[in-house]
Amino acid sequence: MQTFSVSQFVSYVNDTFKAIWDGDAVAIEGEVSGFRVSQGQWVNFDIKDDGALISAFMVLPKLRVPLEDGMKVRVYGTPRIYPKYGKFSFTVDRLELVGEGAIKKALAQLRTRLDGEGLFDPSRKRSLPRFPKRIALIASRESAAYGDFIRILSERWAGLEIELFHVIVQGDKAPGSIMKALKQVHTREKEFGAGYYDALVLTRGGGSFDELMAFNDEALVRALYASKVPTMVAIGHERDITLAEEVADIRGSTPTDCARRLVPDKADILYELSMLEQSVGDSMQTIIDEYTQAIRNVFTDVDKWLVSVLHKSQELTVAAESKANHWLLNLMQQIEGYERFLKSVDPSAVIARGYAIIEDAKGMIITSAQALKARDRISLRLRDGTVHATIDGEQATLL
Amino acid sequence: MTTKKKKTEGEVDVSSAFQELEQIAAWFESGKTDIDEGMKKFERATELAKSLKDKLSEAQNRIQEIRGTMSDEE
Repeated sequence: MQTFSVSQFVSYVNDTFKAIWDGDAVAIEGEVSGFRVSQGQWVNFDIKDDGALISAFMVLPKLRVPLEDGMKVRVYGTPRIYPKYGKFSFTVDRLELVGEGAIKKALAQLRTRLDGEGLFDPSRKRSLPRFPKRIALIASRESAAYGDFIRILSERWAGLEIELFHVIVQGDKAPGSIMKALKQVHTREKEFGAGYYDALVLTRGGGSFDELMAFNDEALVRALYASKVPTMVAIGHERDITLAEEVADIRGSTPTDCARRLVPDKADILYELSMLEQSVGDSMQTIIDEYTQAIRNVFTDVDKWLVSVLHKSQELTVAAESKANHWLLNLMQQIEGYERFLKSVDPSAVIARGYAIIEDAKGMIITSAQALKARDRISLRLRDGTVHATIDGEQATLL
Repeated sequence: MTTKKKKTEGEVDVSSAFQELEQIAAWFESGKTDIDEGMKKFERATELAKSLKDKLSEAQNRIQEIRGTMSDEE
């Protein structure tokens, strides 16, 4: 017979549980009751069915889904006796919701909560450059989504550098794998400098609701929200909208749509290029034509100016000649007038008509009888000579 | 240990080349008539358009897998 101390017994039982219980392969399914979170880090609840109930315990960071009483769950972990109180409980390592209804309900709650925190706020959505040079692609290299994405990119664009981060895109390990890739992307972004990646693309193809659940993982959604590199997420088909897509800066409805939205079509750009070239060429031709015309106009203007100057010169010459002639005529007329006047006042002409000029002895012209008296000597200047005479009478007598 | 990426000598930056070409077209569309400046810009536009066409016609997308994301799972 073997005797245990209480501590030894509890250790023995716990070791036995640990040895026989495969935590990854075996799960307990049941309904949650008495759910509570203490000190912001410990989660306690009971899992029950119609015939039994066990206590469950887990740390809060491991709880990835919103939980409430009445939800049906599947828990993975280890059964053990808590030594201090001898209480048997199930330490939960991983918890999944069971039943699409419960999962959808939890998802709706999570969506509402994250939305309330502003994670899906359209105003914080960033745009991508028109011509991305380098992207981080987080996808499974074996997936059809990856193949479609790469094929469309090759059909549409050239010269893009794609750094592939191969991840698990399904199941409970997917969120961790993707978050690890996200971390690696940001490590490289930090190492090579901000803007090293133009975009971070996360994609996978279609799948069942359960298969796409990894992209509703809260921690993953928050990691995408915190991404310094603009994010583009395309998960499943058009109708599937995961929280990862909602938090992304740009949502592609499918992997191929994602590729189309990421890069422009080469054919469109080549066409646009030829249009730009043509526009620039036409504009240049217009400038050249305008200059040619301007030069022609300058020559025409100079020509017109020279002709006008010549005309003006001729006009001035004619006007000057006309003015000179007029002046000469006036002058001649004036001279002639003076001549006539001079002739009219010429005393010799008066004398010629029979008049005489009387001068006294001193040569002064006598114009008045009062100026003479008897015996004054006078000279009489006549047409053909001068004679001298003496006054022999008085003034009254003279008259 | 990863090596720092270096831009290949003479490699065309599609984004900046296209942007410059659009700016040149806008310059012409604004009705500028400086023939010397116009000739310079015309020559530059022709050069840019050619290099962009060459780049788009010849280049392929390059894919490089960055290891390390699956080390815990594989």
